[in-house]
Amino acid sequence: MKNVIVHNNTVVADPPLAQLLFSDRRLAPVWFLVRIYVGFSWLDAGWHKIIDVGAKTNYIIDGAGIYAFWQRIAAIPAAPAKPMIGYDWYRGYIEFMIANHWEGFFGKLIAFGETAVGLGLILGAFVGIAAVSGAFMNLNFMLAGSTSSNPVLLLLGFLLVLAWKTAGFIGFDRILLPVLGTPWRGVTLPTPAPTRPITTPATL
Amino acid sequence: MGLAVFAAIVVVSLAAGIAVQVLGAKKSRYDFLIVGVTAIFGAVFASNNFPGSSVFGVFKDFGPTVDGFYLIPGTVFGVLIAVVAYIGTRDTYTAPLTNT
Repeated sequence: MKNVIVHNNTVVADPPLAQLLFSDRRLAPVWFLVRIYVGFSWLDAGWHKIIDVGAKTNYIIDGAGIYAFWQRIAAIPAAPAKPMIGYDWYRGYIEFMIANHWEGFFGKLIAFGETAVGLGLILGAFVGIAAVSGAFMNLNFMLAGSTSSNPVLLLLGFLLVLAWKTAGFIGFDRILLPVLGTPWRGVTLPTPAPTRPITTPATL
Repeated sequence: MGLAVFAAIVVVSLAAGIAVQVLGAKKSRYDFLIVGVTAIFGAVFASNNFPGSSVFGVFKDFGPTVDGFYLIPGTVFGVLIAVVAYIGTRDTYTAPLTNT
């Protein structure tokens, strides 16, 4: 007989409040509104960068806009003014990208990435991935010294990540997640194959 | 947006929600809340954010305003997301209430 190893009690259950907030699809309308708010913020920011064709402000043509932004945040002002970037390792990372002229690639990545995150959240398609991507960009913008709406969007992004199973229920995730193997109605176990008696020489 | 206009949006949205709850094919205890709250959010959000955004930059005129509320984007988006929320949740709350 085949040995089967069963691990008992390896999954820690969420408290009821967390289950209600992040796993109960009855709260999907709340996450739907959060998605609209965060998604439109990303879509507006991304689309603004895509349609910008200014010689010194574009992100798509040659990345001059993000190059100017990098130069501005990496600059170290005279004391007592403080630099915009608080971490030396992050300033080194920005200076490395400036020196190697990565603005062409990163300009397109940021512009199309923000737009994709916005569309994903609004349409409810791969909400968890979109929210993680958006939160990562928020984190980078905040490391670069830009506050603006980033703290609020980062917090809402974290909450959407926690609620990834139900946040897209009013949206395309209702179809996409079951197709990818994350069903809403639990796991359907396969029917076991019928057993056949083992034939041995003694029984022949 | 003035307080009177916001109050009107709340009243109209909740009235629409109650109408959906009363007249809808599948009734639940929460239809009026889902439709009402999403319609309020959609109307206020669209009126505040759509005019001047890059996404809707092709539109030069967003139509008439009432005390700072853009009627056309507010009404259209409010109705749109209320319908989407109603359709997306109409089976969610009715299932436990059915006696089968």
